[in-house]
Amino acid sequence: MCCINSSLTSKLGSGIVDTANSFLDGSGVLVPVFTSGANGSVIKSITVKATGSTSQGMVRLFVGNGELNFLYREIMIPANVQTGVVPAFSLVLPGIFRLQPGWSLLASTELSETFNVFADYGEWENCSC
Amino acid sequence: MCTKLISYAKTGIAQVDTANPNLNGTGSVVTVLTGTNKGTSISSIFIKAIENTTEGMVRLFVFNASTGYTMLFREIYIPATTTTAVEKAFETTVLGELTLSNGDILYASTQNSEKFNVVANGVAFDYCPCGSSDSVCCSDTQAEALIGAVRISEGNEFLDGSGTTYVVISVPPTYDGGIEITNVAIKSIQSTSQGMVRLFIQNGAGIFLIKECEVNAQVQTSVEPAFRSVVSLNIRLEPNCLLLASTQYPESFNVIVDGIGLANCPCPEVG
Repeated sequence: MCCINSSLTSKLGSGIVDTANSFLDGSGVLVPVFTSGANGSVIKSITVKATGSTSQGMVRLFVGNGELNFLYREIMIPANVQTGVVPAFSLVLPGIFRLQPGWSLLASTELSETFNVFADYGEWENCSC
Repeated sequence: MCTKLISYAKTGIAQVDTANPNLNGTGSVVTVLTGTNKGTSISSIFIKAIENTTEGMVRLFVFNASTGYTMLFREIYIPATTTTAVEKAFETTVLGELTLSNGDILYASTQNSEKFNVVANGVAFDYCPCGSSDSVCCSDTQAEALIGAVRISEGNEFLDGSGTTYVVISVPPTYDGGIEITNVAIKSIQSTSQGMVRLFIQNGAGIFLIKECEVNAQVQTSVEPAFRSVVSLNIRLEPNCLLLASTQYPESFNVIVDGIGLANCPCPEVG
């Protein structure tokens, strides 16, 4: 008997961006955060966390299919001095976004500063019966 | 015979342009969507002008196949608007569930001789065609995440679907349940001048403007993001439809849709 059950497996994608890239057209250094699995993925939130002091700049998020990369969001980075009592910059982008199988979420940074980019997502799997 | 119900996306599209002041269903009305075998549920209706409007009304009627009557269902007040390169033509979304029985018809008309696109976002229900017994048929729908993404750049001032448009996403027949689209993200990759990005649906009958997104004048720098906006659609597009986009001015935008492709489960006994 046929079954259509779908399951979502919770996953965390991550990437470290640190190479300056000022391009908005998908060229230059982009770091993959994760690539969507066989039945696609649902991103629940994306966290951008600096690992040190920052100057005013930008972190950019792209979606790409291996051939073309499309700018999806820009996150303004403020100037911030990290100390023992002042946290480094951090931002959580909530909201559902779905990624087709084979597509990737990628990230870049305007300036040569280090950011960890996390994607909290669910990998979709349809029963193949 | 299988009597389990499955659902198909039904995107009803029509353009009204002939003046008709009647509220009793007579005069010029156009068919937007016809109810199918086990009923068709409409969750929203887009009304989009594609030219300047004067104060008037767009009317929606329902033809009841069992009584033979055509009855006024809703009136949508149209304000006077002047569309420009930076000002949208009138648009609104009528929310609320409307169910059409088999043979019922949703009609539209316009008070004034002005062009409006009317798009009904519907889902039709029917028995699963698998031919198996109810105990075997699952009648369920499999879903898959989909992305439509395109970079648009060539200037196009037209609201009637002419000029250069770009395909954002197409609905292949394999997704017989259609593709659910919640939002469309519009992200510029450069500085922008005040302008417009337009979204259209193409089906076998033509290309129809459904939404306009006003673009702000914005200077992109290393610390100022380029323009971004999200257009809420909440539509389930039927197979063989295309979602298209255009830009008023020759500036580059990424238009990105994250959708859900819906395929009615192919039970083993099908075929």
